Amino acid sequence: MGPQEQLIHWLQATAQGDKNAFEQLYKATSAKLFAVSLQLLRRRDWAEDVLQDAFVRIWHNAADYHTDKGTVMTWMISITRYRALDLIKTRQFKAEHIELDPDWSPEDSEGEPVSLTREKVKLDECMSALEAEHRQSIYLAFVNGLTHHEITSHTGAPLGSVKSWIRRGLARLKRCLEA
Amino acid sequence: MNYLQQERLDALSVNYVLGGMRGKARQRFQRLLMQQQQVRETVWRWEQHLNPLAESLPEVKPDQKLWHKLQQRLGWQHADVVQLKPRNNWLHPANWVAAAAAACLALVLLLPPPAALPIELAVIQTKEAKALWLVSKQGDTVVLQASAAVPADPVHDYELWMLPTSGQTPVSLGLLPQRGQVSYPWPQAAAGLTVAVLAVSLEPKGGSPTGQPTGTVLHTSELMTL
Repeated sequence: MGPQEQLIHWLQATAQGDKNAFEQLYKATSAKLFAVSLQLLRRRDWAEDVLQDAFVRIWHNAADYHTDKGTVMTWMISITRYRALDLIKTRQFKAEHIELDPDWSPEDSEGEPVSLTREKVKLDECMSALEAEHRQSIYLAFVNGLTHHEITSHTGAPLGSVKSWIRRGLARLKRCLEA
Repeated sequence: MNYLQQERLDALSVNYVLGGMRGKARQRFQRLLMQQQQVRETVWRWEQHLNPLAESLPEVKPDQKLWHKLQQRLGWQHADVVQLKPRNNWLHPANWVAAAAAACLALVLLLPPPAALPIELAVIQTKEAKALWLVSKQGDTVVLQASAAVPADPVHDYELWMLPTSGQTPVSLGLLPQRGQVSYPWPQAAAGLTVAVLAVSLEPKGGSPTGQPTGTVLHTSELMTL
């Protein structure tokens, strides 16, 4: 059973109320999802709240997953991200000191079985093909949850440039991914 | 849909996925998401495009106690579910776990045909499992619907409270109607908090004078996401 099939298997069992399967799912994915939450919120306590909320949702909504929504991991990351983004909004949280990783490169992903999806390999490939500014702005916006303004103060580039980097970068990324 | 419209939809979807959408614009888009397949599919496609980025992050193992807390929230471990002060013994999990279980059953019986919209529901009922109120929350609105079984009380009001999982003090969600239905905005004070349990207290006419439950707690129920 491949990692995606394994996750689907656990998720299906979870939808039937199987607590052991849910625990397996938690063990396999919580460290990934916690990283996602932590990267957006930069506060361990909030990131923990979000992770808990996300798994409560996953438990209750496991039956809502279907493959049109992407891989199980994609679906779970979305649940976590939207919850974190909600929290950022309700708490008027502003990212202040971001220690980001401007030299992000696809090699950063060590051989985690869960992350080695076809989609991920393809995305790495397409991200690498982007210009550095485009790649960095997209990364800051998506992974760090920074607004265009925050990216501006971070990179020192004017707002217009940041906006167009993201727009053009994403358009190019889409063409590459859907090619 | 023509090319330009799809392009615009892409731009909106990306903005949504990146978390750049706020307030009214976000609500409008969420409505579209519920109503239109093509909007959903576009958002899903962008999630599929971008989420693998997050998979590159080095894993961070959450504390072991988080798993225990999660089990408590799901009602699998009842030891100290909601850590509240001991004198609030009406909050004791034993009192509401049974009610929640009964509510789930009642809910299944009461439900209309499956709706496409995600909605959070709770049934407030008596110990004899007679449904009194249906509480439904959708977005930032909560609708309270009384059943015919609500005992009329001209001297008191029934007040609905949400108890946050964080253990903070209860937040009033408003007065429950004794008949018919009312809807309220989800209170600002409850924004960002997760509901551990809902509770109904008997209060003087016009609601609790202190902002916290003062009268007897009559019923409790769990909010379920559908």
